[in-house]
Amino acid sequence: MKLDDIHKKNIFDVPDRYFDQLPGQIQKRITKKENLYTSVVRNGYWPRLAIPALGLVLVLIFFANPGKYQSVESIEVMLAEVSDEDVIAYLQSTDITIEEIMEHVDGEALVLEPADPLTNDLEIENLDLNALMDNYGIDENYL
Amino acid sequence: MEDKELLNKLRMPDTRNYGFNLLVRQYQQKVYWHIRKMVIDHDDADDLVQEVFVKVWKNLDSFREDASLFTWIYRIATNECLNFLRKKKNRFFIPIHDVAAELSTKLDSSPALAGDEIQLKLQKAILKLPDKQRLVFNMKYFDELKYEEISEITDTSVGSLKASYHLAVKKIEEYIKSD
Repeated sequence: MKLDDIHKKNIFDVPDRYFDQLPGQIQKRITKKENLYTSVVRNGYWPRLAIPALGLVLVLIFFANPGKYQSVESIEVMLAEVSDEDVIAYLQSTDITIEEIMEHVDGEALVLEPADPLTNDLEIENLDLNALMDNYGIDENYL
Repeated sequence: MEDKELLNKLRMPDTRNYGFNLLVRQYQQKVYWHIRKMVIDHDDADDLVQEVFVKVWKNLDSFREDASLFTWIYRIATNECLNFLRKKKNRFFIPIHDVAAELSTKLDSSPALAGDEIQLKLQKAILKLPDKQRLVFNMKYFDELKYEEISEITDTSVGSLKASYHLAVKKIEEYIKSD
């Protein structure tokens, strides 16, 4: 059978008065959109909607990428696992000076070398050492 | 009403709404049937027709008169149809899900059909075609558009459209013969 042998006919049907009502339906949708635009943009309501929406988006992004946005605590735990050798190797590979590092170190966390071999050899008493430091204006905290 | 007259009404703020109402009344049936033949279901077609005219309204200012209003509206409707069918396919995660089979089942179960057996078989054969070829076939066979008009709507060369239509007719005739 050829296509030309088939009588061309539209077999689909539509509800009664569908085409009478369709223009009204479309007009309603357009009016609704226009009203929404007018109230949101022209009346200046958009910041009130945009700010909470932006907040919501940020929260969603945070929860959608839990591995990407870690807490400070978890970052500290990760850093603690890095060996001292690796940290020293990293610091040596950068241009950061010792003074710059010291500026960022918390006083309590500062751990000095156990003993300076030069002072051990000299067997200087603490009092004498303090006097010497005062004399040269060396701040103990800096050491 | 002529496009020019309609466009004049659409461009004047005072007659814009009235002009749009006339435009909807003038093209609603053509747009509806174009969409309905693609999506089969009336409710889906109804949603899409409304969406098409909302888009027409929103983009009226960007309409350039190098195309006819009819071609422009048909192009929007065609894109809406293809997007709808694409989304429908993507919505189902099982790759073997067959939208054509689903539409074919809708054809069988639809109470709003007024055709005999051969008409139904023709519709099922058309559903076997890829979406774009189905669009071309419908526009040529049912809407009786010229290849030049279809070319403008689909942005495809007349030569490709002729080849596509010829191939579609062959596939349909083979399907009808097969049972």
